[in-house]
Amino acid sequence: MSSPYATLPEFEYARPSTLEEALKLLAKYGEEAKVLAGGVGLITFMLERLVSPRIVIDIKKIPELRRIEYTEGKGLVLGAAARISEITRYMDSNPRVREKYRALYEALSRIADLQIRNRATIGGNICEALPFMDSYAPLALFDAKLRIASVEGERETTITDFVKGPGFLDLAPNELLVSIELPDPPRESRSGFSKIVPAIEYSVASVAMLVANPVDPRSREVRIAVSAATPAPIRVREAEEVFRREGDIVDLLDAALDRMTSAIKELVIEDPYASAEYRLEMLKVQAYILFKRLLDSFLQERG
Amino acid sequence: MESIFSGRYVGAPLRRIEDERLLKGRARFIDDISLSGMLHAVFVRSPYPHAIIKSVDVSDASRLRGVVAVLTYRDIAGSIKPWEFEVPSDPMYPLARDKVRYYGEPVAVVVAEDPYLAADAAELVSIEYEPLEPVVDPLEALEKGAPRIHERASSNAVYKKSYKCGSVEDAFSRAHVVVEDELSMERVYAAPMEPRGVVAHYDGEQLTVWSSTQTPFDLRDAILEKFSDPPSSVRVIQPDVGGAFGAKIPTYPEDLVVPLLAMKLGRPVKWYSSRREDFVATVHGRDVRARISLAATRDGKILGIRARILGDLGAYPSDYWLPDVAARILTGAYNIRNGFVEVLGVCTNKTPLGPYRGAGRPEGIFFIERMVDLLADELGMDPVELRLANMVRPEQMPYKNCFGFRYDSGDYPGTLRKAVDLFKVKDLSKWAREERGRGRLVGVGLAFYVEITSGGPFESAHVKLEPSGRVSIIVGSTPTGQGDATGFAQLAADILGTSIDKIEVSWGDTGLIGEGVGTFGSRTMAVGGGAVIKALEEIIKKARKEAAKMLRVGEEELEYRKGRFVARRSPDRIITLLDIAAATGGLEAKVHYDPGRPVYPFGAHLAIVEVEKDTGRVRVLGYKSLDDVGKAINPLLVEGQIVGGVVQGLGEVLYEQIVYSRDGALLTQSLSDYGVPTALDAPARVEVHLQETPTHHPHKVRGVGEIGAIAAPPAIARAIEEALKPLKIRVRKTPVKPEEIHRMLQQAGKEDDV
Repeated sequence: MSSPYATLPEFEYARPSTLEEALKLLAKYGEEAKVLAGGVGLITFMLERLVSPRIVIDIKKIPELRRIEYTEGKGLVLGAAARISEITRYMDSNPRVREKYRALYEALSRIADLQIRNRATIGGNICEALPFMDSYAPLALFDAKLRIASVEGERETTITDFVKGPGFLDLAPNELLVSIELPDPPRESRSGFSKIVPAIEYSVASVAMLVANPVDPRSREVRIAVSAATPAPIRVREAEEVFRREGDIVDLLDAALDRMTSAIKELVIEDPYASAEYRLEMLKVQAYILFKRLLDSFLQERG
Repeated sequence: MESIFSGRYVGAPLRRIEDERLLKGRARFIDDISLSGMLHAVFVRSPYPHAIIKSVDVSDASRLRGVVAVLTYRDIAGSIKPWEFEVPSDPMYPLARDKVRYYGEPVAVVVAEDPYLAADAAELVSIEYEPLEPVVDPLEALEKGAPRIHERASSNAVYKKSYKCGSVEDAFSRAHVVVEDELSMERVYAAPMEPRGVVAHYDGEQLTVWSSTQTPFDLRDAILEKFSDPPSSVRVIQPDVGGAFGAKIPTYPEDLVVPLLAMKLGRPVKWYSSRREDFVATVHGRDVRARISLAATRDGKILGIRARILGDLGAYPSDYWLPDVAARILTGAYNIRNGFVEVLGVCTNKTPLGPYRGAGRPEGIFFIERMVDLLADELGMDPVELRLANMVRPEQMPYKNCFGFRYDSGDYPGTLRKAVDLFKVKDLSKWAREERGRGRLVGVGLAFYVEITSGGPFESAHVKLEPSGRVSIIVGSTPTGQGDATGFAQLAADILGTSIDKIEVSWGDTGLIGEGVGTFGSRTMAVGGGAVIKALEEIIKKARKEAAKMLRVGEEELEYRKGRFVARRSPDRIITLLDIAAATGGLEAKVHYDPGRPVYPFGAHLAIVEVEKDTGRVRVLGYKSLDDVGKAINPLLVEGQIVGGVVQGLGEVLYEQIVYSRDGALLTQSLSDYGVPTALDAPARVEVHLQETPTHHPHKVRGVGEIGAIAAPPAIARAIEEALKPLKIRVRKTPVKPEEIHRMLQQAGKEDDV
């Protein structure tokens, strides 16, 4: 039974103003430290006494970690402590960026409610490590690179390698997620995100999809990423490959979704919120609807 | 006295006089109360649903600096008597004695200088349990060999009763058609915005207790009765309460333990529940299932009803009467003269069951309305026509239903016909049919209800007209956010012929008014309002005596109108209430109002829903209601009550469900796991129509607090069935979640293919 009392345990608090300082603290305290960004997850877990860190390291005041920056050709860089609402607002004022990373925008702008989005950060969303975190599928979709740092140096990983399963991240106690880099998506691509939230706050099945050059079999690209229905996010490359075949893209969808089913079937979660059967079905339904929506947007553009 | 309906306030949709304080953040809820030297209590709760307590070791917790006391049953055994229930069961101790019966049952309490320390220390209380096999399913609890929850009871079915009328065997043997089904409303949590909490202070003579409760008088009486050494004086104060919905009616263990701690320790003590704690420590509602058969003739005359109703009472049968209410309202608005209903209350290892908005009526009405729809489908009849053909007719009023409830008044068929008109049911049904033809799964569902309100035994009011012209009204009612103070002020302003600004309404303090009953069962405006009127009448009676003296005329000579007495035969002899109050040093009256027989609100509700075919998600697109609430003292407040109740009912049909694992752990323990509807889930508009058939109360009020929660579930359930036509899908339970609708759609699709 997690503690029901909703009172924080005692802890020390540090608010470094540079990354270096933060990394030193992490190196010093290791497993006894927890990183605070928006606090949406951490404070809740501490109130329930699921975690009782000796020290809480607040990274919000490290300018580098608050970056939100798009550079043509390089892509979008998000500091781990960038707030969800700051990211969506940035995208709203840069509509071209918003359209490039549409699936990410759709996922982030529907996280919980506005108050939460004003607190929550992209890094926090990633590091909460619960299957239904809304950033997972779009980050997998855009081949996001996660930059991880420690006093020993830096490394780069992907969301699918980083998130191992509920509560499990590939992150050493002295390491910190610093930034997320989303390379430019293929030219003329469209993307979108969809989730099923039946009666609770959490998604039970999320899908992100990207389509580029749908008409030309040689250059066309379809990407599919799923989360929430599986313990960790998955890029469903088995399904993506189907679209490399010759033929009309529309005719390939059923085969692709079949491949998706066989690729992930064994992994789908079953719990009181939704059965595995329903989750799998909802992945397919949403993939189907997203696919139609994305293709329609190409058609509309051509008029 | 002149009619109270001729003034400018009664019947006007005034904004609430309570709101300014609330909106400006000046309200004082339980957690806003902070007393000097106050200690903080935390309850250590059982992690097992069913276990023997082998030993409790508090030494580590006690040693923590800042911890003032750690108490278990042994420390309070001599101080507080346990609860004994009216049905066979073991007593419930304020802190569990040797056995725990539900996950979250309080076992020990820690008191410390601050809530953080108290929580730290709670983690250090070491309790050794011997887990017993739990039972969480009421059907399994009935089986032979099921774990026995109460040693004093011969089985887990601690409550059994049956009601009958006419000859049900005869009715079923004469029937052309018999329909039978199993229906249920699952366990829900009231989820008031403010969880429970208690603060207590003892000054050596008087014990003052603040509790987030609906029943401060019950709590005061419980302290006086259950404490073996009660203080010489007890004052219970209900501060601002952030919602209650029935779940704050019971007196809880914490309500007694915290005051006892304040007395024992000689310092004020506060306990404030977290949301997670409230999920286990506050009663759950509904959890009633039924097997029901209706017998009818081919042309749709309902001949008889047979039912077995089973309520899951949870660990302690404090509110065993809940399924009983469901049983007794089971014939709904229909004239069914042959019936038999058996009621069973079963104990399981879950949080105790208690009242929740409607308390038995939503269950009974959901059952009968679902069955009438089923019968209509079986007979191929229009559900409205079937209802009209079987309703209690106005000339039968007052009407004693099959299971003993006596409906007071009302034209049920006339109201249903009017609703069909007002709601434009024909147009809507046509629209839905056409939309379905285009592939949209939309449906329109209608339900009719009757329910019981304005229970006794009495309500109190104490009204003072000050020489300054200010009016102070103290009521025994204990509203928790409904806006009743505004309604009371409207009544008083019109009767006294004064401005509403002159009126101040207070409540929720046993020190202000000696006796009262409280706010629950939709009784506040009817019974509490009755008390306010009676007190005002007393004041006018007293004033009349004074006026007669002052004007030197006979009392019978004086006519009272809008705050003044005028001598009938010499109209220049006038005196105002205000003059009388000034001359006499104020007028005052303290009364109890006996509501007499209960009254029965009734009406029709209609829901328009759309089902998303691919996912099973349901959206309520529109909602309409026609309710006979008697006189609407303030139609805006009435509308607020209806809309709020409807959205709560919507949550119950579509989202809300308390889920226990098979081994008795509560899985839904936060608002992330338990789906409470938000504004986004509500229809953009609820079209509210009112009807005002008078009742025997002086202000003709019928009651409104629970009708939305009673009427919405069957209306929305029917709308879902209609949306899925021509598939024969039945909504048999609440909630019906997207996955279940999706599954039913797929199954029906498969059957269609065959």
